Amino acid sequence: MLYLGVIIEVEGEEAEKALSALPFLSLYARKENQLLGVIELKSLSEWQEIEEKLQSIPGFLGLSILSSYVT
Amino acid sequence: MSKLNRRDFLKWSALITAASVAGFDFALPESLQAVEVDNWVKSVCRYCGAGCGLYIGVKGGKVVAVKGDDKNWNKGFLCVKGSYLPKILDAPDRSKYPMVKEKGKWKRISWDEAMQLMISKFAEAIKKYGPHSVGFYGSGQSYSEESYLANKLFKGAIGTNNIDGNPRLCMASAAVGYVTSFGKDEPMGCYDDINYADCFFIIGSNMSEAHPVIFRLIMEQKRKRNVKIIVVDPRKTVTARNADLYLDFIPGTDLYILNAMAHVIIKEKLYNPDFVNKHCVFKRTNPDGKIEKVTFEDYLKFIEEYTPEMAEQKSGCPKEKIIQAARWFATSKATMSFWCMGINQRTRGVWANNLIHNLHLLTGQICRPGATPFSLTGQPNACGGIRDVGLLAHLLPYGRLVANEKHREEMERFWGVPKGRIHPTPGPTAVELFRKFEAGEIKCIWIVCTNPGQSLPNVDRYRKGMAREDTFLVVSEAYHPSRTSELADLVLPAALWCEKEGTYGQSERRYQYLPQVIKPLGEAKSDFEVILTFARGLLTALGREEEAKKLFPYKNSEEVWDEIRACSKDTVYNFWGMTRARLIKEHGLLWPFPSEDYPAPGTLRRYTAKYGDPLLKKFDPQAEDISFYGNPADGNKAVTWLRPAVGPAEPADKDYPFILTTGRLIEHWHTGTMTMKVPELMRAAPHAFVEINPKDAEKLGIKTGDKVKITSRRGSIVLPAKVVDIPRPGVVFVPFHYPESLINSLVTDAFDALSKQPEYKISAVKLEKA
Repeated sequence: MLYLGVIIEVEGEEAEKALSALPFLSLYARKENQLLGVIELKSLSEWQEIEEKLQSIPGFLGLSILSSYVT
Repeated sequence: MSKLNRRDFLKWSALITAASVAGFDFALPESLQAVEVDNWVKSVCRYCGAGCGLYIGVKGGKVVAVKGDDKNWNKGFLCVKGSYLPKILDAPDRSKYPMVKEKGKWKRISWDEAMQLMISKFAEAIKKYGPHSVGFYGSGQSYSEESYLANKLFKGAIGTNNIDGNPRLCMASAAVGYVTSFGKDEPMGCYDDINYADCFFIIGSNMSEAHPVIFRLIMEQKRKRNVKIIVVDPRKTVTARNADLYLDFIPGTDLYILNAMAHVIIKEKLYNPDFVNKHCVFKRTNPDGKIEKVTFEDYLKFIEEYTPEMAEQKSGCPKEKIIQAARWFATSKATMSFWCMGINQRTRGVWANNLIHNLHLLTGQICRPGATPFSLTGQPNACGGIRDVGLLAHLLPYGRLVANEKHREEMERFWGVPKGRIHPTPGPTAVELFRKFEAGEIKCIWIVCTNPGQSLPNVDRYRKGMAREDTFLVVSEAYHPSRTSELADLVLPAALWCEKEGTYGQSERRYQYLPQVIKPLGEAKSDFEVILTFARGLLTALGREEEAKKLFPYKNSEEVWDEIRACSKDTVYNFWGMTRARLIKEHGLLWPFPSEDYPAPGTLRRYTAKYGDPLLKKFDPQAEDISFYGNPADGNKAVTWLRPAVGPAEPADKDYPFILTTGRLIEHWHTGTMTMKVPELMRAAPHAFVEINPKDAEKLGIKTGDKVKITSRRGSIVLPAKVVDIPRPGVVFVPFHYPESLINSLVTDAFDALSKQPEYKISAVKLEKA
């Protein structure tokens, strides 16, 4: 498993709602337009699919991976 | 935390790391922080020079937790390394007993045997070859009391300046930069300036990974006040990705950028003529090495050629960015600069430091809240225990110099040793010290609390010297084997962090007390106790028993701290008022701190009466407000230097077309002896790698995970590739933490002529798919 600590930039409340429903993402805190969260994935091969899902959410502006923990 | 399952634990680890990297205002929920402890003891983090305050949770005589000190400057925050500190204490490779190497095998011996062996070897060398046949290599991680004792022993008692410390490898250029620009070492500002600056100029520092808690303070201001962040770095680090303006450049060409910024500031009349007239002199070093005082007009002529166009041509950084950076720097309400190893670990490190100071002096962005040049520190006591204490080959305590007769006499009087005891010639610096050991000129070296067998540049050369059979190497270490202790003849087990007591002095002149919280593991002892025992034993073996009693009478480290306070009293450092009782009570104190009732936290800003420097009028009674009183030779003015842009010792060429730069990851610290004992950190960053820009990787047919052979003029190493858009094309990056991958064996040991700090940041290499 891979755990990625991320900052996600969003615009509007709706984007946060949609993101919080994603099974691979846990959100923990918000400051202005930045959300702090963790993405959990089995391997990096899932990454493209995850990125596509994130990009498809209205109000999703961008994502920065800031840490990674592997088991 | 112990109640979490493994999955949650890793998720929280990822989260805490991300929060500290991004400076996100986030802490663990109370429910997850709850750890049952017998008591919490106030202390300080063991790692970098930031000096985060923390509490140590003890249960049943063991350290079970740490939590940030919310009354200290770090407001309760720790980075991911600090959060896992309890796990460094009982690692399986902790050094528990004195060990001697006999016929290539390690044998456990008693402390008495160890000390007798060490004393006899050092005494024998001194009797046979004189005082310069022995040496000491100290650490910015030792407590001030330990380093002070070692300095007194070698310079004041033995009479040799063969004593240097590992801050020579990380901070010497910053120290000499402050001294040459302002007369005395150490920053004039403090972390509180972050709350007032509205422009941050970060150059040669990946703060988000190397000093994450300080970077968090900047990001907090970014969110609150929309301050401007300029980052100048050849790698697009997380720090750079958070910048409003990012200047990337060919390593070694930043002196062009700094001079070009000064050019823009002058051309666009953004400088502060009133400040320059009142507080600056101008100097240059002539080709014969002589320093000459020049005029502002001479400076204008000098800076004329450093146009943004010329800087762009030399550095690869677009001129528009250089111009914008200069404008923001000069016109912001208050600009604060930060820099670290990218500036210091260079053959022109001192000059680069001077050029940063020049920008502050020209614009008057100095000596008021938010406006200050601030050098970041790599180790927790490099400032207090090495630079301030004077444990460097050219220094004596508290700004005094070996080469200055008056200073030597002051210290000889203070220590009560005969006139002429302190040798007038500065000793060999870190690399030079190990060259002398390699050459057999120095017969015995004692290394305390550091790992030069991994951290020296061109390290294979010096490892051979350390392994010589006809010399004697003693290593005091908390872990064994390390890449240094494996080469030793004698290993002394060292108490670690909260297993002993002492004082740290950190980046912003902040001194903090660290209490002993638990007993040392096995038979480990504090370096304080060992140095004291050795000092008395050695002088006795040399037939100087009375001197041993007179010079080393201490019953505990507090008595040494009291002597240190007295030693600082008449200097610009004056922290006489920092009694141990005050340090225990307060959450860090900043010097100057001249009296015992001086209000905490001490002096936030130096060289300005308006903002509370208590020594300004003492050293410069005529001053109205600002005075650089550390520099009376220039009328208490600061020096703006004419420093030409000169490239690195080993630029890339056709044979070695890439530039290798080394540095840190957030998960690890220095040579990894501590952080690599923490499973969570190892899982996050398990092995070394080489970062390669995707454009270079494509040309070489290299993909992430491929084995890459990196070769410099000194050796080769094979590492897995990480193809990533972080280093600029032509630059590769390797973290230096990993003991099994000695990247320092490839790094040049060329050093700065003024600071003697090696150029770790720039070595020419070639790459091949292995």
